[in-house]
Amino acid sequence: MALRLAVAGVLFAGGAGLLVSARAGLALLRPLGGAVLVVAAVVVLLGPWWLRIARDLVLERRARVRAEERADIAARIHDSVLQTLALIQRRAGDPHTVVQLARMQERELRSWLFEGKAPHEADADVTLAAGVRRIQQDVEARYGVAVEAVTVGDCEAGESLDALLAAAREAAVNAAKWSGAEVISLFAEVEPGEVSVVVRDRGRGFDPEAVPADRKGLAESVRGRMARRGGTAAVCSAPGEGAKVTLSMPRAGTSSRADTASRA
Amino acid sequence: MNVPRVVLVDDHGLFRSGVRAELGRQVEVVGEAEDVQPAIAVIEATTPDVVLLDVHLPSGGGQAVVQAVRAGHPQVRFLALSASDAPEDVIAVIRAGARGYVTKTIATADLADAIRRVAAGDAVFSHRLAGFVLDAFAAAPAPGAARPSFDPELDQLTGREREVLRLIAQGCTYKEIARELYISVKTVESHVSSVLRKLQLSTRHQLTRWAAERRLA
Repeated sequence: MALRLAVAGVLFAGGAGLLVSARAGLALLRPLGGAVLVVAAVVVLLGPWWLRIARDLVLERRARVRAEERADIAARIHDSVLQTLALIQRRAGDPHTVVQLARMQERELRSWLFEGKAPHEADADVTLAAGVRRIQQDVEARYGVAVEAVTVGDCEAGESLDALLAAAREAAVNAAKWSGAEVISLFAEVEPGEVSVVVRDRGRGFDPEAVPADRKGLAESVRGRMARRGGTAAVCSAPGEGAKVTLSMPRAGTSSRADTASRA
Repeated sequence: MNVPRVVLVDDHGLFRSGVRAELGRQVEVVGEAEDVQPAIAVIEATTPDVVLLDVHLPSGGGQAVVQAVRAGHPQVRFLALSASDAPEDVIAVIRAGARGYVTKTIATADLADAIRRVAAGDAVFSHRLAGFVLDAFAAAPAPGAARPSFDPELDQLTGREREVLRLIAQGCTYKEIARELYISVKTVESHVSSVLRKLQLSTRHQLTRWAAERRLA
């Protein structure tokens, strides 16, 4: 401290002296040199103090960010996990509901932890994987049937992909409503030339030929929708055999993210 | 067939007792452990047929157990089990030598079946792992871009293997797959084993990168 004071004093005295004793000839250089020395004196004197202030500021900001994060996590956990746990306690007598609640909560927590998505956050269907995930969540929430979804590769959404997803949703809803199966499987795969979705259940099955013509679901919402975009839909089922709906849509120059195996 | 002798390795005591109770007499639980070191000790002392191994243990990944035991006891088989489904963990434990992977939400009957299969030397993939594998092997190497380490024998799936994996990913049983592809269950099993071998031996660069990049829940 004493040393610093001494150095600052010498620098200041030198600089002030130069400034005061300005003479012609070196007149232009001297004030400049003086100013530099004065500034140096100030820096030597006050520098460490500034540094400390700056450091404190950074630490404080970091602590605040951490506190905010913690509060945010606490809020999320409260909104989701704690609420669900409370619901589960109240519905302990109804195993079906409890399982359903636990499953929905698990999905929500996973999507928040691993995909950084806030619960209930609008999940814009910008990619196939996001669309499949949304079908899974909606069908599980609305019909209480487990949906096991697997997506291989991913690609950007487009008109034909929207049609594919809409058809897949219809097929999944059909399976959830009519098949009686407890699990529906939803499998989507992006290949270089086409995107396909398979919706499968091990439920009671039906005879595709015997579906009344006025039942719009399969004919219009699935087959028609696919055909209009140049895709195909194949329904394979028999009474007692479960059902399998295979949808495939050719890809028209959409950029694939399958080749880079990037995350869904 | 004899009842498989099983060691349970999981850090949650509740989960262990749950599995023990559910599996009942379908397996004989000869030991339990809650962490890497105790697990290695129990496995070496009991040499079970199958180790049901949690991917996440307090002092590290389950692969440490597989690596430590495999050399001395090649006959002990590992079935990995996890709640998280994080592909990098699953791939790590499979590549360390586990014969299969299932999620903790698996139905009891399916778990018992998976244990029997692994005990018999087969491979067991959950529908999700099948999806991972398809994804990891999906990117066909760009023509002409084959790296010196690229081995088509190990680094690519055959068309049949892809078909089998697709059906597993759709939740089909081996029996259903056999019927759908007009092949025998034994053939399905051999396709899955061959995929497992590729998964374990492939030096494919993408596999590691892919697993690291992807964090599906």
